[in-house]
Amino acid sequence: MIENIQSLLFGFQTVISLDNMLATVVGGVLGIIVGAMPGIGAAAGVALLLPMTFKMDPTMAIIMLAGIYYGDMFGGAYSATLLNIPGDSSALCTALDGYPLAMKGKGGKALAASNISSFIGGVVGIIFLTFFAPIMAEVGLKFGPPESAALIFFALTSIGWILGDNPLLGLISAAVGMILATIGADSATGQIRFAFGNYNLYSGISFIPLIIGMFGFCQLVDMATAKKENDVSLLTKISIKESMLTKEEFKSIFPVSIRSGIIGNLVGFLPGAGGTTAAFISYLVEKKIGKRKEFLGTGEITGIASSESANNAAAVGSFVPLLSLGIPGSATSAVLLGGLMMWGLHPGPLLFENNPEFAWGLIASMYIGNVLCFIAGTLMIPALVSILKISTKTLIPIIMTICVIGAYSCNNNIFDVGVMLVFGLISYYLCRYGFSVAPLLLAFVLSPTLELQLRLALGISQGDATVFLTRPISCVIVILTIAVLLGPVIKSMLSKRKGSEA
Amino acid sequence: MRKSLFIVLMSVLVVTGLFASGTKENAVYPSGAVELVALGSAGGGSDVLARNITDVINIHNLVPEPVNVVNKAGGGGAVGIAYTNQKQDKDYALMTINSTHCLLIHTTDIIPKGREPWTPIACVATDAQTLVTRTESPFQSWEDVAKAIKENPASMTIGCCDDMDAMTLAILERETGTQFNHTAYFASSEIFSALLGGHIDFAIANPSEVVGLVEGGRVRVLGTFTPERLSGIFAEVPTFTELGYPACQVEQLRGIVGPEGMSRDVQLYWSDILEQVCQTEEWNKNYIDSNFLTPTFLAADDFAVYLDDHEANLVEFAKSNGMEVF
Repeated sequence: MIENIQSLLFGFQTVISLDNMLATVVGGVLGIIVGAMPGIGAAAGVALLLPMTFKMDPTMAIIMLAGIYYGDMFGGAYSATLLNIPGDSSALCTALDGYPLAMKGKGGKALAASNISSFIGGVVGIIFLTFFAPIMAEVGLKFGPPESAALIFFALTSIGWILGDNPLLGLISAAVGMILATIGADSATGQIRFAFGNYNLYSGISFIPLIIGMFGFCQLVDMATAKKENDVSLLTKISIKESMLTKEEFKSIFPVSIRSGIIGNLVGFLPGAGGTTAAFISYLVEKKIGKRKEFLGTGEITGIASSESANNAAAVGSFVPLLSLGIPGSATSAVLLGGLMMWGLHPGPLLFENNPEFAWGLIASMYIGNVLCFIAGTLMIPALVSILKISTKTLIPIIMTICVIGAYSCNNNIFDVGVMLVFGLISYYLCRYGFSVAPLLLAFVLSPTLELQLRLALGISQGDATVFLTRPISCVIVILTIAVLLGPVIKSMLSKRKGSEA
Repeated sequence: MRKSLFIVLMSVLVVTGLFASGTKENAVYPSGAVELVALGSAGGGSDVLARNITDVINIHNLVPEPVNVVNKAGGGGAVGIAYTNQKQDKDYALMTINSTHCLLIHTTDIIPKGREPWTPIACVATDAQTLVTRTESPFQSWEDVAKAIKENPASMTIGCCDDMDAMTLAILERETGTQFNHTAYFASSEIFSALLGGHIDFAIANPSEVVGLVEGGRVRVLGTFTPERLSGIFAEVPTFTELGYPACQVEQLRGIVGPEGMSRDVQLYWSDILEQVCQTEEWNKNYIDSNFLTPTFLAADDFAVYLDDHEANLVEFAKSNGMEVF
């Protein structure tokens, strides 16, 4: 413990120099911008800026890129809340509560709540990273394919509560999501599925154009076809003051943020899971045990808090295996690993020993960076909220441009713009006929990982399906999943019996 | 409502129009910027190769016009190969290739059958493959592994992630008469988590992927699939040739090609530039040595012969493993 604090202080010494402080600020602010722009997610944002850092000092470079990563998690919530377009897949759950709040004229509060919870989640993650990184990395290794498959399956059960008013339509929508996810190269054998000879589909439909289409473009068609302008009277007087949370509101999100931060961090450092899974799982937990669980999804700041805190904590958590073993824990840290090698470092178990200024400088910079992101984010709220005041006529072309550029910039591929447009229209009609698109997206994100981990697990066990029950960790998760699934059924059976006895 | 929909359509058109581009007239080559397409995302193997080439070109001012790296990931390289071939001006695009792409063009229909989607320019390096296990495993050497497998066939699990890994494994099994339980991973990083966590017993890996774990004492290299021993931290590791299996050799190429239809002069121009690149100190230090590669330069025509041979080997392997190839 004492050693870690000493090393951390050493890290602060490294960071508190003009260059590195500047890198922290630039990284954090760029991250917020990249995150708020739909299309460029954390992984793409880091990849875009990576080549610029090759000539920099490694410590400065990693500080800046890490800033982009966690800044992105702050920013992802903004477009999710204001435009109903999650800036990154991990902000999907934020949109479920953020956008309804913005429509009620409480956009400022939604943003403030997401900033505060992002900050808390980030800090929880960094504290874990400071004191327990090596231990956590070893624990993470115990998580093999069977455990990962069980965990993703657990996250998938959250489909149950976002099915919408009509469960049957919701299930159909989830099934469509799973089918769409099977397009492209099969992760186990490389066999191409459902590509119909189109090489653009060989690696599957990209998630970013899909989500921009289904949320953003669909929203746009909706706005364009709506008869009346959106009611702006509610939004005329939004200042920082109005966006501040009351004491009660802060009290309601604080414990949620701490809990979700811990969950998010634990999920984030496991191999094969990431910010999106983390956000889903803590949103699920909030839905099950939260104080205002029945209102979740209709515009609750606790919903925003659970999702935002978790994805920030997970972003930090994915640095655990990267720094202590040299194995990336998420798509974004995989890009960072490439950077480490370009800077001439050999990431591995000796990184903390051989390059302490690098590893501890990075960790120290995260403390400073999170505070800076929080301040920058809060200062941006009035400007951001004023987006809601822009009239529909002006807003439509702007959002359209953002959608097209966002879809293109994901892979620099014009095909993705087509994907965005087609799925935007599909989503518009799905919504009109009462299907909810959230289950589709959830199934789309989680099922490829589930399939991969499931097949790996069965490969390792040579086809023996009991592997999920004979291994202690996966067995616990399976039991938990069954409990979550059957919980409501048993509860209602018990209450019925009670009712008939009385 | 009509009006708003019109606005939507107009903005689509305008924004899409921004991506259109023209071609240029040229007198002296090159008379404009050249794109070097990396068939993968930033930070990956193809990207590192592309960035190192442009770095050296810039340091030594080898080319009068800018050479820009463009990342085109997706479809195991198919998206990038198609992108490069759709270019109007075939003389202003280059792309990175490695061995997996040589097989890819025979398993997918990016371009019509029987045609090569590229013009060979130069092979700039070759990468090695190794067999690794975690330090805590009881296997100290290949002999221990072979003995254990003889007693209990297919009891040991091995992870691999691309076609080259699969081919290496197939050669190992064929030459040594052993049999493993295969699991195919999506990314090499996941293989190492599984290996260190004890979920699998062995992995096939490039030296640059495992060097950090070897230094940190977490992974032991049992053998290399190379004709001669590797240098540095791998100097103690025997080759499979030394272990008595001389046919147990796999080489992964790293090369640069142009699109199909690149003119002969331009092909030779770049082959010459790359030869200069490969002779620089920066190249050997920053690329070859730090990634544990073998410096292997082959100019355009030699590379064409090498590629044909390499492709034929890969296709034969794929056929014998029941893959659909043409």
